Amino acid sequence: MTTQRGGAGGASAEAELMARYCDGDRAAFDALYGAVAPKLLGFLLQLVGDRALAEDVMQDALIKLHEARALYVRGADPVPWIFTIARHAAFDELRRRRRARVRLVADESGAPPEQRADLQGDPEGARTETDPTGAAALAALDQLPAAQREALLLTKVEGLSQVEAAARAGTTPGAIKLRAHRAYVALRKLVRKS
Amino acid sequence: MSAPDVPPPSPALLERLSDLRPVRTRRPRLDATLVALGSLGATAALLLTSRLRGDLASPLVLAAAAACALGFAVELWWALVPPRGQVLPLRRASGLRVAAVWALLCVVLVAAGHDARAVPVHDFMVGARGCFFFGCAMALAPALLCLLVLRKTLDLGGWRLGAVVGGAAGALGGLGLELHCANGHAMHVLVAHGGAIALPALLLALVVRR
Repeated sequence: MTTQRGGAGGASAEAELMARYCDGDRAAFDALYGAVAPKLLGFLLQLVGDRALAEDVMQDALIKLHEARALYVRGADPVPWIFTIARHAAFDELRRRRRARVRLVADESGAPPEQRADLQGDPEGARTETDPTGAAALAALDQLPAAQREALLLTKVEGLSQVEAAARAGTTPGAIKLRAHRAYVALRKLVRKS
Repeated sequence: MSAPDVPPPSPALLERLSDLRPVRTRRPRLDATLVALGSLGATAALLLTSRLRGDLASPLVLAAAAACALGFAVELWWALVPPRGQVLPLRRASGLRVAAVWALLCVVLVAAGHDARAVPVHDFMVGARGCFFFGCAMALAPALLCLLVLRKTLDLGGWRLGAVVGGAAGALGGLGLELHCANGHAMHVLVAHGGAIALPALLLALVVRR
């Protein structure tokens, strides 16, 4: 699997798979799914904080990719594009849920909130006993603005360079650097406070 | 960090994949050429139904028109042709680029139009309103054609891509105005022509979310 953007060979392999997928090759889609989906799910899991929701958003993003595949430019690396589609799908879903939460704010008899998941999809609670700082950081991550959280995840968790992270986030390396720094500072304050 | 286990594709996705057909992928250079030709055709048609300025053969007028045409071509390229290896036509500092092209065009248009036959200031607003709307009308065709070509990509590109598309449309509006309006009053050129060039970029940047 080649999902780190460092290797030109990885990008061209995914570009070839995407081109074949656009030509109607189902096996190419399966191969592309196998190459991109794990990293995409890991990214979405950190972005939305819930395993089931991350899976839903990923499937939604892949349906959007399928419907927009005619907009693919042959030879281009499809991964940043797929991540951008997924990021927008995640933000749409989070926005929808936030609106729904605002509407239900008076309802005090609601079910308990879903637990935040770690990268393996385990509930956050499973980590609190062994790693309280990590749990605090995960909890604090929720409080960051979405753009800052994304920048932090891409650069610190995914380990992408600023240029790669900017390509995925659809912004400039300077903006990514600034957002990641602000997120880091805010996260540190939140963890200390907790 | 280990990657999480990935579920298989959902039934909804599998249903779509069951009818997987080849699609014609986007060819950005061809798209840009077609949009440019279509936009220039629409502008020419609009100009022919109104009137062309009398001093069209003046080198200054032609130079200003050429600057607008160049601005249109460059911004259309930015809007439709992605950097090498990318799907989305996003470039660094897109907003700044659009603002820089707008400022350059304003300087060129004011310099080219600031002649001794400037209209009195009290006539300025009447002509300005007409020019402003005429320029915006000419910007409609390229904006719509770009939106058609980009479709879902515009949404992903966000306000920066919207600004570039609007910038290209506005530059073509500026070209049409330069060929149509002989009013060389600096205020008129700045407010009416410059406004018509800037408005599509501002509007599309605001309308396109994120």
